Amino acid sequence: MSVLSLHRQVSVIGAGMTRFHHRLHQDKQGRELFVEAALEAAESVDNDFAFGDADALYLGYFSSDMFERQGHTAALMADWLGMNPKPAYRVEDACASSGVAVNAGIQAIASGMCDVVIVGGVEKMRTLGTKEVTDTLALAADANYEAGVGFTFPGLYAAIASAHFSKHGSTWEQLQQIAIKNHVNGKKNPKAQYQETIKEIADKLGERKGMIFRDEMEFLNSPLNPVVASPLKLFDCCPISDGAAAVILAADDVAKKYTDTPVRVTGIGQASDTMALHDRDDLTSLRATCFAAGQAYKMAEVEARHVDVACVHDCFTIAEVVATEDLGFFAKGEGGEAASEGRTALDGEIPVNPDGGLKAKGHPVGATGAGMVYEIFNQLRGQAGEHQIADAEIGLVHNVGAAGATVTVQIYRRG
Amino acid sequence: MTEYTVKAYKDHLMNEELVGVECKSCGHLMLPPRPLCNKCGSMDLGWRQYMGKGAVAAKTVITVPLTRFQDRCPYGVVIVTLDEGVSISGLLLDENIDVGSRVEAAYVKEEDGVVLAFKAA
Ligand SMILES: [Zn+2]
Repeated sequence: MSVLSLHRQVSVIGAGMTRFHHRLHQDKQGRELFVEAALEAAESVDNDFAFGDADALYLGYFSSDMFERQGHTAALMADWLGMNPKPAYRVEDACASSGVAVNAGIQAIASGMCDVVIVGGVEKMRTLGTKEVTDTLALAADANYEAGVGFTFPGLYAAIASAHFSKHGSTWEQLQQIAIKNHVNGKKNPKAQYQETIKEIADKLGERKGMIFRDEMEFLNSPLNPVVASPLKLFDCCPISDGAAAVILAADDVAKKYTDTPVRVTGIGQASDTMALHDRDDLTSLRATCFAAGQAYKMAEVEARHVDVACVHDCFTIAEVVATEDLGFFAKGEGGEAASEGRTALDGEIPVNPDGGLKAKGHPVGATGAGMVYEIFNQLRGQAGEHQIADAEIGLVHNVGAAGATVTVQIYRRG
Repeated sequence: MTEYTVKAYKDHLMNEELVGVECKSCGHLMLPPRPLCNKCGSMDLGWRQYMGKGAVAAKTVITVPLTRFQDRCPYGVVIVTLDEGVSISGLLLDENIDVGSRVEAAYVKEEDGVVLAFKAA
């Protein structure tokens, strides 16, 4: 594999995100959420920034068509930001939509076509009930050969979990440590959907039902945590969320005008894999993650062990296990045990999802990749608040589309 | 125009036949059929019928269903590696099937077509 490079260096100069939530945004449409995130991003730029300064908009939105009965959403958002006549591009790559939008924006600057670009994403999901959301998310799998035989989106990751348990001896109990850890982190993040530990949720729900739980595991083993797709239960799954995130990118030579503390993009990677999970030789690994990460590490001239903080795509607990293995943080098959040992906690050797991850922060599909960049931008500028990782210098973002047919990885460094 | 279409695959399923293609250039087996070899790019393909017998590579039982499958809920779905070496997803008709279990193809006829399924072999 040849080493790719950016012909012009790119930095993040601003980032904004709405809170991700299941109820809070019920009176807002996607356009209002995206404007809210973009306004916060503009506000975060140290020196004055106006949307008109941007040369293009790249927007990730997985399914505005189903959720809002609205197509053509990139032009809509550009209009709502007052960016006309600047070009706007909608990216649809399932849950990796805004990860791909970020990569596309970086490449637009590196190519010389643009100096400043707004990238981001939005998903307004709570217009539909759980049943319709389940049907809509399954559109990201092969409609004929996966959804067509009954696979749901959680079902695909459940299949991955069953194969991982069988091949590597990992356990459901190990997966619970990921959910517990991500809720501990989410509690410290004012933008997270769930700012409660699983113990607090257990106490609250238990009180309502007249049940007392000694600890998280007793609750997670109880009927209050029903199976969604075995072996995955409710607390193995990220929630359904509304939200938006926006990131402002600039060429390094232009970034100086806006800030003295940019966050540099040092490596990007992206890969595709077979649409159907069943076409992969190894069901316990996302080949596209390995490929995209390999590309990004080479471009950034770093290795996995150099990463100080990572946001990885934990749409399901098993996905975080697989991601931490495929990204090279742990050997194949050891991701579950590593999480159980606290090695990915805020004070661990490689803190993973300090913002609560998709599990606790929420997963408005099209906003997730950009929301991860928002977190890493703040981490590397030392402004992440209660969940700040001390002296974080190198950060990694990993965004996955559905069951791994699209994966993006970016590596960022404190400027 | 290719004859190796989704429609052709579904028509064969109606006849309880599981068909894909074999690449005549590199020997790569594919299921379902495709218009070109995803290994070597050749369009020199031929039909290939599969026996439908194999071992379960992954399994789940779904309790939050797709609308289309809600009447079956809870229902199992498996990924099966066929004896010929290719893998495919299918609805699971039997209980007590786990990763590694031997299964064989079954064809569930519904109003709008056939769903590929697997049962204990
Ligand atoms: Zn071939």
